[in-house]
Amino acid sequence: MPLAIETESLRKEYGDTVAVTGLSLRVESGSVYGFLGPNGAGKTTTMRMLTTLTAPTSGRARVAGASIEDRASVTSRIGFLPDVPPLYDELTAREQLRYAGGIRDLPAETIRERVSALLDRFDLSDDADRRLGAYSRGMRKRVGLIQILLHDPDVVFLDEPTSGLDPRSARTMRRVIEDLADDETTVFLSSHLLTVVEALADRVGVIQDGRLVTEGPLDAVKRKAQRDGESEGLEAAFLEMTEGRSE
Amino acid sequence: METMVRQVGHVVRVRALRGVRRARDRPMVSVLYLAAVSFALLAVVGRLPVSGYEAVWSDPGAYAAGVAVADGRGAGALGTARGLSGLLAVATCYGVLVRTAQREDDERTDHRRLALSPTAFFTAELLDQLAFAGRLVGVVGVAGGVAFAAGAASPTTAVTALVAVTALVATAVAVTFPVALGVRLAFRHYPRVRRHRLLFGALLVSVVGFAFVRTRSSFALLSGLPVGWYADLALVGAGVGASDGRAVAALLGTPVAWWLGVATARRITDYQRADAGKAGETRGDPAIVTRLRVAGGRLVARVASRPTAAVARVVWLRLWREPRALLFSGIVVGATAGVGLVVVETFPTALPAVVATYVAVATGAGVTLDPLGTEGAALPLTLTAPHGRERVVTGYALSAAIPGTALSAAAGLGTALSIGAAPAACVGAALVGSILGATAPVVSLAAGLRLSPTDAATGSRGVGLPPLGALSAFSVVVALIGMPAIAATAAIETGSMSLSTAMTVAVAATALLGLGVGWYAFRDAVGRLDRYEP
Repeated sequence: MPLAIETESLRKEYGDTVAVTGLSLRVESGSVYGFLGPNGAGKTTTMRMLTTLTAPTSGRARVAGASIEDRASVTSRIGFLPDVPPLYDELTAREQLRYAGGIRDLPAETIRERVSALLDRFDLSDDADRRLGAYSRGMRKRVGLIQILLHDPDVVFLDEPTSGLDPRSARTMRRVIEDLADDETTVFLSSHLLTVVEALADRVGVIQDGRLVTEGPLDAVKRKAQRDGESEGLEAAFLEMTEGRSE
Repeated sequence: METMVRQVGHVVRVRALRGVRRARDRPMVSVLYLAAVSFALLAVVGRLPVSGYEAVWSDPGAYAAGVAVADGRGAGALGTARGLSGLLAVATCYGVLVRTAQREDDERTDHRRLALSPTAFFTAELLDQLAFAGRLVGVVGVAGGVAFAAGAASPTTAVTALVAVTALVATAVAVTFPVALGVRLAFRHYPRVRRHRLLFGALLVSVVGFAFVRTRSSFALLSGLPVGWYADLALVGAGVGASDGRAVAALLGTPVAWWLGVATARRITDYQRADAGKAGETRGDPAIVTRLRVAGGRLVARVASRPTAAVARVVWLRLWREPRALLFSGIVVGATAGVGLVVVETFPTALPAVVATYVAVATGAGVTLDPLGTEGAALPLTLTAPHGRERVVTGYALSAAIPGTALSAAAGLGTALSIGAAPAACVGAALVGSILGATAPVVSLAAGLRLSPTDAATGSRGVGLPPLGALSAFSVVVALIGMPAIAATAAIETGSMSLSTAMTVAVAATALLGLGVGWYAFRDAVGRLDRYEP
């Protein structure tokens, strides 16, 4: 399988603080990779490096076949949905999505067609001409997701995509992630909600104090917390590996 | 009662602490405040009998007035003090109005309103405003009173001046605070009013600015108002003919104004709470705006790439719907109008160049002064678009340069025609205006990217106000670019240059400076955004 994300000894320092160190990851194309860790462990910093928002202090990484030093190549092949969706409150959803397409240099006709199709798919057509400032958190997340899918990226990075969503919106989001995986899009999923990662991820990595403390297929990671030969699930494994260190 | 006093004290203390920390985070703002207060102190206190002080300040002020009163020559002292009371009240009202009307917190986010009784809450609010006005305006008033008392050798006057200034500022705060809450309510309730805040803000700043530039007229107008009675209170025993009745009225009026201020603020907040449901309503844009936007979009699409045009179009759209950043454009013009006035009074033919410079400053002082803050939470989208960073800079620059070039050129030309300037001067004014209008947004972007508090950029979710430090640096640079044109027109008046030579020099120098500074600023802005890490 070709690799969608490959990092080697990635390190990021902010002054005297080491946010991420010695991070070496391999994520296969078309897979869903669950990236777990307590608050402040280095998840968001890792995503920022992989999406070219932040330059690593040292180490190397390739995303969708391009080095993260080649910002234009990487950004043309990825989509990034941060925890707070990057939206302008003053715009309507349709205006926002047209803008997102425009800034990615998509032709107007393509933007119109894809926006219309995605708004339908995410059940937002009726609200598309309302301003985003009046949207609920779940609706904002959906618009944020649409705008990173407009250009049909190879890899999408989702930072806490289901946090703060009601059960219906969270289920919609999970289905979308499943659909993306079915379409061979690689999903790099960071979440505190272990059930979400457990339901969707093929492989899981756990980061703690900036270091990757475990990494592997979901079942293998779950087996690391075994009692009497039976796996106690991802939550038990996560707690065991990050014991006493989370906030 | 004891609980209320404790609660109020606690709130005021916490707010003061937050104020100190905010000031530490924005040293440029503190420096500007300090400079303004220092200047006002020098002007009000005036000349002092200290060796070498004349090198610092030589004009007479409160101290000299005190000396004159002691020598039996203080006939005009009371009138001047009444006028000064009026100006201090105007400054207090302006500060409280702007500070309150701009604040974003309301009953939905301000937990203190749930924790405190309404009376305690609004008393704390007014005390906080009093502390704010006191350290800016009150200090100047008290220094003036003490200087007068020293000059008149009347220690009692120092005490009465302290009481009078405190009462004056407290009354102005109590009267203005509910008005400011009303303004906020109007902005929330009426989208049309909110949309045209620029107009109201610019008008307010202009009126206040002119009140301070034209002190003689202001004194004449304000000294006749009840606000002048506080001067009677300050000078009640100074032997300048102060009215005891007015002094008593001023003293008694303060608690009454305070009580009325708290009561009115409560009523307005109750109304605001009842009105809250209407705040989220949105309406479509007027057809004319949509047409203008589409036309502007087509124009920008012809001269720029699709991503750049997308950025420019969205900037316009957001500005129309949230024109707070434009309000600042109006404020900077209003606040510095006095300087332009002095230049024009000295060299009347420089008017077109001065007007063109002001229009360029105004069009560049909007969102381009804080592109990161304006992008706010949407910044990751922009920064992860291929080539997004350079296109963001170009898009923002075009969004201001397209209207800026046209407006500055039209302003220069229109003003030149209106004063009957020669055809060469009219052409020169239009050219200088267009160069300034095109350059100002790029300079503004560079200043904004250098001097914005970038660590807080992704926190906001809407168009915000530009940082004061960036605004000052930008205004100075644009004024410097406009300076050759102003100097050239001045040279015509002094006879040291012919019209054609002056215009050639003005246009060539402005173009050279504009191109050089503009190019450097553009590269600097792109480089900074390229290196920016949210």
